[in-house]
Amino acid sequence: MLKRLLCTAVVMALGTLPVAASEEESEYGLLVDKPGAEETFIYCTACHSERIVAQQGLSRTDWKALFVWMEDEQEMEPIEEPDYSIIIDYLSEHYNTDRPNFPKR
Amino acid sequence: MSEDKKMDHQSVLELYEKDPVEADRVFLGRVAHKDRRGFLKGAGLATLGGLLGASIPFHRNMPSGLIPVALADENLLAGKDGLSMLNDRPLNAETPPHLLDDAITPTTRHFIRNNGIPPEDVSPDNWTLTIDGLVDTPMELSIADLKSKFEVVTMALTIECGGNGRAFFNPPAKGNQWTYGAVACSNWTGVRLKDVLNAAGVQKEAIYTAHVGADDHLSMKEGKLAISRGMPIEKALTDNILIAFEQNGEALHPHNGAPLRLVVPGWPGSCSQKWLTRIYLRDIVHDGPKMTGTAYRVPNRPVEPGEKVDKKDFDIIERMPVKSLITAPATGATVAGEEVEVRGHAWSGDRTISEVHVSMDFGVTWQKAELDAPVNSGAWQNFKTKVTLPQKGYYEIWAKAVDDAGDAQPHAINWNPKGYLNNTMHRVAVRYS
Repeated sequence: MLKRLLCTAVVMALGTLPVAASEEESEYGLLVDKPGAEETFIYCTACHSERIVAQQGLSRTDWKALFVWMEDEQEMEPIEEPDYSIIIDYLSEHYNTDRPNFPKR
Repeated sequence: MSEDKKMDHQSVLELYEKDPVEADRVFLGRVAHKDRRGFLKGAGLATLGGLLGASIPFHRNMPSGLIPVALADENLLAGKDGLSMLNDRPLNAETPPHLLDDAITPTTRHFIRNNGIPPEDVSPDNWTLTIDGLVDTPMELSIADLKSKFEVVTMALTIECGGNGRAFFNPPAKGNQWTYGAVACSNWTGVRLKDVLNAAGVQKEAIYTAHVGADDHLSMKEGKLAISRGMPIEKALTDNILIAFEQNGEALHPHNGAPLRLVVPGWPGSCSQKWLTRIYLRDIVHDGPKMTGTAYRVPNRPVEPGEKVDKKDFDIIERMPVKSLITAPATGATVAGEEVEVRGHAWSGDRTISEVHVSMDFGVTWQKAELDAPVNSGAWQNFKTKVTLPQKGYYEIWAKAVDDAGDAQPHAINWNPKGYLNNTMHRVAVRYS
């Protein structure tokens, strides 16, 4: 939010930069705003940025394996249903190996 | 967010860092009063209010040039110039290749790879380094002790993240999607790890080092380490590994490990523990976080892309493979003349580069570039050459390094499950118009 406003302010102040209003960040940072984004954002960003999530392109099996690794080795509490399935569904659909939402840099 | 906008966000904060009063004037129209309080003119006040998401009832009390802390906190890449941020918690940022053109990488352009949350207090005064485990005389050393008891040396040393180039793996590999810029060669000043270990007395049972830093695990769980890696004792006793307290003649950048770090050139960057507090020697291969499982490991046999590989079939990565980077021209550059100077660096862990070849016709013909010797063991080598483009149009410039063991860079990725060691040839696009 602050970043976006700051950018807007720079545009105002310098008056020479293009305004790119179409690239508004979603409420969920880099995560694509589709059903499940809210649950995914809340759980993931408890420990790390959503940016590391948005960079990945994993199959459903690999997303599940990643959750097991986070539980086993990275101190993550198991996520209860229905949230677990909502998040796995969201990630498998929007962040699969075909990388439909790979962040532009 | 687009690249332009990111850069501008950064430039605002950088101007504030350099010249806060001027930044006030440029960005906010705020002019200093004699009493050093800032006077926010109408538009500036509204702008600042907009930035903060609220009006500022006490704006007349704000000292001139004071950047509101709500904004200052946003500047994760303070002291860095032009880096692309991959991740902000933990912070990971790489440098676009054309900004790595310097023979010695300025601190502002050294990539950042954090595994955890860096310590807040990085003052060198009270920092101590413990050397223990299988040594005759365990030691606790201040940075002043290191400087007074051991020979202080400065060396240009290449650090490359083991996952540099991971972004190009297909199927994708988990982790930060580094492209090209998780590599750098700064001047590091410190003492040789070898000298410190020998002073402590390496016991004959010791086979591996174990490194500990002061960063916290992302979970902030007390006592849990974000990362703790090590290396075989024979490697640790070689000449070009430093315990460093200066980067390019100044304090280390906080995200490059201030005030003290290991620098282990030519091996995965993770061996170069940042915020270093302890090195202990062990009689087993170190089993700290990110030493085990599949972290910083590759299959011990050729595998098919996407293949599931059993954990027991992974080996720890040691030296990084032969690689080069084209730092000029920048990819996508338009050139006006037929002659184009090509520059870059090449490196190969624990080895030297013997040749760099450059092509501008998709690898059909190659020309040998001029290649500098490394300034010291562990430094990358600079190359340059001129290519002549026969007519206007689109070209790709490719570079291929060959090391002194005869290894050359491949065209295709040697796929592995965790996305390490991508040393394929760097290609840059050039338009001659």
